[in-house]
Amino acid sequence: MGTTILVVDDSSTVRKIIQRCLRQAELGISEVCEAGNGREALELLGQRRVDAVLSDINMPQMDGIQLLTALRGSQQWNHLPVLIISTEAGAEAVIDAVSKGASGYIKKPFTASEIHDQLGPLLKASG
Amino acid sequence: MQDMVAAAIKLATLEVFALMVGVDIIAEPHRQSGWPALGTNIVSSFRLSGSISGTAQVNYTLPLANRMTCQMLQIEPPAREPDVLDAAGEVANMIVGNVKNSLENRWGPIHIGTPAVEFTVDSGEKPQAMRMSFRCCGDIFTVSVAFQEDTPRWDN
Repeated sequence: MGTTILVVDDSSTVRKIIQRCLRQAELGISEVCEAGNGREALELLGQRRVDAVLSDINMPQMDGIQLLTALRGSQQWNHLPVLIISTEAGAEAVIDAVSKGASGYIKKPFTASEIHDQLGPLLKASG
Repeated sequence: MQDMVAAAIKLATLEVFALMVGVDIIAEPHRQSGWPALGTNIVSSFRLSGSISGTAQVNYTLPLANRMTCQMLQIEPPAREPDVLDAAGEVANMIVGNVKNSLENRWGPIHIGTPAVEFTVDSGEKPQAMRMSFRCCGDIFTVSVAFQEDTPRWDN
């Protein structure tokens, strides 16, 4: 079965760019699914298997930190790699995300190689 | 303070356009007054609060916003209006977010409010504003940060 990544961001533009970066990163990803906020992401995760999540922080209805907290509090998705991609670059934001279980953190704007460098090892470790 | 804000705007904007939009832009020398109005455009506005208070705006012409959207989505023009608003807003969000990150390092925590993205007529200059213009694809866009009038650091 191929690798599936869930991209969570309220901007459809950013979701498209991340998809493109995932292709360019050459990580053998076979499918990318999308959600516009944390709530949509949880609904999608309830319907299908995903190998990693890339999520923004600032989103309506359920933000990235709330999503992260929900995933880490669940038995089913506790070990799912979650990479945060956000404009928030301050130490506090990064520490907060990591303390709540983020597997990595990428600041916007980003490059395909940054996604490759952070996501690659996570997929290898969980694969 | 003025030079610091100008430098933060320039750095953030150049980085976002290089990495996310994928087009070259040229920053014009910064100044505080005498800007030409850009007419009806897409304007993304953000409230700033915390260690400094004010507003940040990114102002594109409609053709430029359309071109940027097509470049980011890698589609043929014209782009759909919802996509243009989304792309313009997200580019502005990244620029202002990175300006915030730079200023926070010096002045302490700054909070950015939810952005408002709309088609509007340029309202002109604001007092206590640092506004920079950039040339892109034969067009111009501006990024400005306006502080509340009682901001003590502005003239430092």
